[in-house]
Amino acid sequence: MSLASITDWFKFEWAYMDYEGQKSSERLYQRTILLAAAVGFVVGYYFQQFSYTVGALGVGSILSAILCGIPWPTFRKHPLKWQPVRDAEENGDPADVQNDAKKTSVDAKKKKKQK
Amino acid sequence: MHNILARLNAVLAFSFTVLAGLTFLCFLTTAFKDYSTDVRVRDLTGRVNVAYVNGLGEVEEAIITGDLEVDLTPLFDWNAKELFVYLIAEYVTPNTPNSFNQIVLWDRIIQRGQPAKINQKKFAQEYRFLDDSKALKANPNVTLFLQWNVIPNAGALVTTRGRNSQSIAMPDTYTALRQSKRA
Repeated sequence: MSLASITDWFKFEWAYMDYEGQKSSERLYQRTILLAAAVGFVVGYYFQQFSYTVGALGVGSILSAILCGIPWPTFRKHPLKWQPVRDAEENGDPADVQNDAKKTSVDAKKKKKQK
Repeated sequence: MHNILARLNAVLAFSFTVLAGLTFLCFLTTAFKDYSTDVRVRDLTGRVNVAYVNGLGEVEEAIITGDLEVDLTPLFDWNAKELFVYLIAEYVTPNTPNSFNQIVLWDRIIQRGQPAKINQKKFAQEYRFLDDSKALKANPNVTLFLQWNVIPNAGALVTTRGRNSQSIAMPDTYTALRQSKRA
């Protein structure tokens, strides 16, 4: 397994969140980390031990990495409605005929926006 | 935010930003704190003799000993990593180019978690106490006090002087500082 194939695996379409999901995921991790930081500050100040504060923040960021990093079904409730793929022959561009078959729907959408 | 790596990156970057903020808050809670505390330096005795030092020639050397008692435990707040404690002998030699002298006689590093109570009977001087102007003999006022640096997690490295000091008048005769090896 080469490095490129591993990163491709991460970028695979199943790993995408829809836009609403990205928004709520971003808010969720910000709130989780800030809450962990606030708890850690109080605990660390009470015990006069700054490592407790750093530990609480670490727990919070690992938790939010699990909660917000993985595209849970909650973050995929608003999928985009794609236009149906146009026939390549209508465009009259011979290069598109070969590429379009391999293109993911995201790339195809980008192409259409440019036109 | 569109794929896993971008989200993990965002979480990590935000965590470090928040950590920087927490560290700053930690600094703020101790920024105006007075790190001084009561120190007892007692029962000082001193001896003076002549010594010959390469490059300096004939100088005077003194040995001072006494009891030292201090409890530095309350200094370890959550922004204190380590204390560097040192005992200073301070004296004035008039009519010399360097008339104000401070000499470190003894030091100790106390890290967080180590016992921070110092109770030394007849502390042993660690560093030589030399004076090249030969003003130690019959010096009426050599003051010993404890001083320390607080090494913080974040913020300034504080230098604090312990409260209370003890002065000693040095003897006006030379006496042997160390027992000779033949004895």
